[in-house]
Amino acid sequence: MYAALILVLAYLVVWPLFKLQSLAFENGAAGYRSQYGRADIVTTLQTTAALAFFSLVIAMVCGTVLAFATTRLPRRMGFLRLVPILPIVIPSVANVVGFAFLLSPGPGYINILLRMLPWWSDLNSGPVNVYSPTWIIIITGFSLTSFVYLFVSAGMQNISGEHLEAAQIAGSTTIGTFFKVVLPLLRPSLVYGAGVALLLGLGQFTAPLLLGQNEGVKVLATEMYLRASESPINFAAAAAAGSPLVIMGILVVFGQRALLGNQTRFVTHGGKSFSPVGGSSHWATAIVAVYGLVALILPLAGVIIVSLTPFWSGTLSWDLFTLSNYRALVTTPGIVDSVVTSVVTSIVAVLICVPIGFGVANLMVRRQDLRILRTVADLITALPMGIPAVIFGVGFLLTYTEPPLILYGTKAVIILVYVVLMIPFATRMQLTALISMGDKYEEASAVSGAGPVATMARITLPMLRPTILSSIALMFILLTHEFAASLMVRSATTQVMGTLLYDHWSNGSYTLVAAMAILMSAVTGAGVAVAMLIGGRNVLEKL
Amino acid sequence: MRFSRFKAAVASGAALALVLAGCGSDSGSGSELAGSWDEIVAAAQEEGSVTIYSTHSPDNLEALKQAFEAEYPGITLTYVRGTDADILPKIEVENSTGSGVADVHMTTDAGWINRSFDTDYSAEVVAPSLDNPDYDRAESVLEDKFFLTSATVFGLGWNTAQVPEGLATPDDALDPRFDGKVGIQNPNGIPTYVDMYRKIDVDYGENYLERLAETNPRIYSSAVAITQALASGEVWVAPMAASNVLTEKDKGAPVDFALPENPWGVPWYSHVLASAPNPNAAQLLADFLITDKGQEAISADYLSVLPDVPGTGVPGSTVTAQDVELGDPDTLDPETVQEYQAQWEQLFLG
Repeated sequence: MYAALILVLAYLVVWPLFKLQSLAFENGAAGYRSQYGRADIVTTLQTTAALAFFSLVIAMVCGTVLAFATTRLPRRMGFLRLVPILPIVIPSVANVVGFAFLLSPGPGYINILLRMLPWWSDLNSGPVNVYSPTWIIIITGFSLTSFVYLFVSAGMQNISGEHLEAAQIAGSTTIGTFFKVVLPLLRPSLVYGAGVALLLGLGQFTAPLLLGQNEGVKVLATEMYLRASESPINFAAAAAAGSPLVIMGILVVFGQRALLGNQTRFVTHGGKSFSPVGGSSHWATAIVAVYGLVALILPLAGVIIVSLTPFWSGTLSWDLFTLSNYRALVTTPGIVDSVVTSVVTSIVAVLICVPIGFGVANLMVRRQDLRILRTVADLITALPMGIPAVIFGVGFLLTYTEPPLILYGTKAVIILVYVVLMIPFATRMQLTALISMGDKYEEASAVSGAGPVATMARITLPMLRPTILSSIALMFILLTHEFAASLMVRSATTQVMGTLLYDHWSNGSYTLVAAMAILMSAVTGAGVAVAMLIGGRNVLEKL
Repeated sequence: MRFSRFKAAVASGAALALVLAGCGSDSGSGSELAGSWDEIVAAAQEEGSVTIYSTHSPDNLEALKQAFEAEYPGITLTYVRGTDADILPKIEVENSTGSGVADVHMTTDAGWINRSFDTDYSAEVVAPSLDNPDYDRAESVLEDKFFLTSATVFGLGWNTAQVPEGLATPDDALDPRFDGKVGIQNPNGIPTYVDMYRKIDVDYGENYLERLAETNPRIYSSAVAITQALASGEVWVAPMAASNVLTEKDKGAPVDFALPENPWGVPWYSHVLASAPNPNAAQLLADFLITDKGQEAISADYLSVLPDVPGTGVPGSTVTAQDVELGDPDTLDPETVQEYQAQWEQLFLG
């Protein structure tokens, strides 16, 4: 039965990738010649590498500092612990357009304020240009910070207080402890977080697409999109454009394992868990608050202001404010439909993912005898984490616009690609929970006379409930934001929120885009609220 | 335990199958074109919906929706606005997969129109309004498939808050003080813009494009996006702005528009798609597009295909859409367009 499950997964995950590559190599590798014969390909590769590297550096520094800072928050500021996670809840398209409204060289609100400063008063644009590669990197870095934070803060929870106390007794300062004790012990989390952030940076799509077109900034992911949206569609060149990302994805996954090596070196569990040494710090509050202001509140404020004006303009006055853009959300064709499509496809995909993840996790934990099948399952379920979503999008578009299964323009193809993208999350979270559960409970149940079904229904599943609910919350949040793969597989009238927002952005309907960004955030926010109701208040922290 | 895993796998497989079955039937009604025009109108009411893909301005498409639904209350019009680069691949995929979403398609791409004569993309258009003498069928319909629907003339646009004196000639947009403040269209995947750049390079004066590149222009996906950028003040001038700048001016945006001596223009042609899920409603929409009411909506602040339609045309002139020529398809084949695109990127982004 596991073999059937793996076959289905292989069809979903590997087949589209295989189809893309075989197409790229057709006709004497015409796809590669077309894509890598372009005059600007070197610049594109350089920009992709720079975006991945520098946004990784920003994310690693910010993510680690934030993770350390949140452990030292004063008690009454404890709620700030959520701040570094919240950018995951705000859709990346909303975040990116928010920054554009603030930092567009002409009418960007922050730029206008900066131009009031005496030393910039002679400027008529800038000083910041949000459309430049530098700012695309900075914005990407901020968005990756949350992911690094998640990994590092999880690692930090496992560092025992004894290490820190020992450092303190030995006379080390807070900063000294951080660099000499905390950072070295965090190596596994840092390596893992860096790997994930590097891959996310390499495949970064949203910021380069929305901001970069204005100045001709190209990365491999946007090149894939452009090749797959030409007339006639050049799937072969699109596949060739994505190949370095596929190779990097595989290398990083293997590289992470090699780098971590013997993990027992990093065992940090002691009698006490990580606890702040030397009490709470006000600088920690300041750091988390500044990050929240820059990465969250400012872009959201930009979006809110534009959503309340009849046209995006640098000059604001109270009599301009209007709610007509919010009324337009209801009257503009497709917007309500896109919300329904986003929610329905996300929920269905999540519901399909949970049993698949459970099946694979069971295979990995309980069936040590099926060595080959376990290795294959491990690899297949890890692939969608390493390979950018846009590649799966193009792969699915190619696969399902051809016989035998033509699903173009249907919600089914969106659901299928969502399932693939979420398999790593569904699998890994349940896998970790199953490992930590051990097999004592199931053995006890069996000894007490319960059959396998009863054991699963009354022991295993109830114990996994918090993990399953957390994974459902995470997957729902990620899917209602999904943009890169959705952009490829949507049709003109089967849209999700992000893709419709992009269409309106391309058409220059900025005020409607702003209102849509707020709507998207509200839909995800509602999802998080439901998850908190079911899974408890700390469901976000379990991410 | 083994049984439970089996059940879990079957359940997930069944869920997948249900989804595929349930969601796989989103496409059209599969109805056929009725015989007489009266029967077509009745069948269109039965179909109850029609979808148009167009590169026209979103405001005008919204106006078209309002006007069409007022005329035919039982039929919902859905419009999808995008550039040719967005829309043409969709038309091709819908045709090749037989999963039609669009019923009517409106484009300015002369090369694509010409190439599609040899394909099965289009159905014959039977709309009776094509025979209105004012429309001039012989001049306005190509191969009984593509019919002239509207036209635009590109001119000079500016932000009145930043450039109160306005622009009089294309050269005015090249003033050094507009460095980084000029908005232009990206021809990537849009042969119509390739045609435009070639023509203005001649008509706007010597080496116009080279001089334009020196202003470090900002690049937008379409003229519609440039209009919004002018309104927001992101750019201050645009030498190839669309006349829908006037629509934004009416809304109170600080923008204005003027035609240069040799304006460049392009007509929109529409066709009923062979893969239309609502073939009767498609014909009805095609017919409505070239009535006075249809033109008042779709050609507001643009050029109409009929004379004397209120709110259309260029003030002080009787020019109609028929006076604007479609580009030469022989110079707009994919290879030539791609070659030009590379040159253009070298000049403006290189």
